[in-house]
Amino acid sequence: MFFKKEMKETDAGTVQTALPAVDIQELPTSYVLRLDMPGVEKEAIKAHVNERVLTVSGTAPAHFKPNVTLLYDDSVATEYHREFTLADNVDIQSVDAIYEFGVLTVTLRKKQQYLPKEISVQ
Amino acid sequence: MIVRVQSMSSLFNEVFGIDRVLDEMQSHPLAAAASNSGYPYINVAELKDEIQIVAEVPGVPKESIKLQFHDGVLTISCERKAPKSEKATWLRNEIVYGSFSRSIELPDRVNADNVNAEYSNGVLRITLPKSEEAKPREISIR
Repeated sequence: MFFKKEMKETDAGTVQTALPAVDIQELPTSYVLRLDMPGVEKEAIKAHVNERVLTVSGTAPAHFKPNVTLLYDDSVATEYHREFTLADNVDIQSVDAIYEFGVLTVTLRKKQQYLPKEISVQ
Repeated sequence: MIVRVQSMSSLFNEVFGIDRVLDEMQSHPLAAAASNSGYPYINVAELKDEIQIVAEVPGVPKESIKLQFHDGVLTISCERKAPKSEKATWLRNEIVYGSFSRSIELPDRVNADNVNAEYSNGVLRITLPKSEEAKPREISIR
């Protein structure tokens, strides 16, 4: 499946970290990343760029209280984390992120010198 | 002392069936991938007085979700629209788009007239109260 899950023991109990599914599109002047992170509150999402690595993470509250009888479960992930190495043409000063309907959309603009240019024919 | 007259969970496991119905007539090129996606992911839990179903429907606004209860089967249908991408080059595509539906067979012991559904951040939580006779009850010892 699209989620790689790994079990991780923490003081608070068992936490599952998932690699959120991602779509990446290249547009003429930007790159757009969409990450599925359902259940996370907007305030709990972190996105930052450090040394040309974009890191996106967020923690969702557990679907159910502990000690509830689970009859069926597809997804028990509560933590999302994924990293992307950015190409040289990305302007890391202008990163935009919007969270809506459980999807984080990150827009990375290309540096001016990498943008397509019109060349007038004389 | 609380005695459970009948173990609801074991009964529920027996009758509980997950069925994935996918509209095969989808014209979207990613439809083939969608049929294997299991989207939306669902989780079902039994609480003292109710059954809760949590469906993860990232990318789907509330208005695009349909819930139907018929003959003891709850069906969640939704459509996830692909982003407009005329000028875009796909570098990676792990998210599946299209129409999805999952059906969950519920035991008779759920009160279908009182189903409640809430949506927040791409997560749909459906609460189905148990019918009176399905709730644990106390039996006095004489």
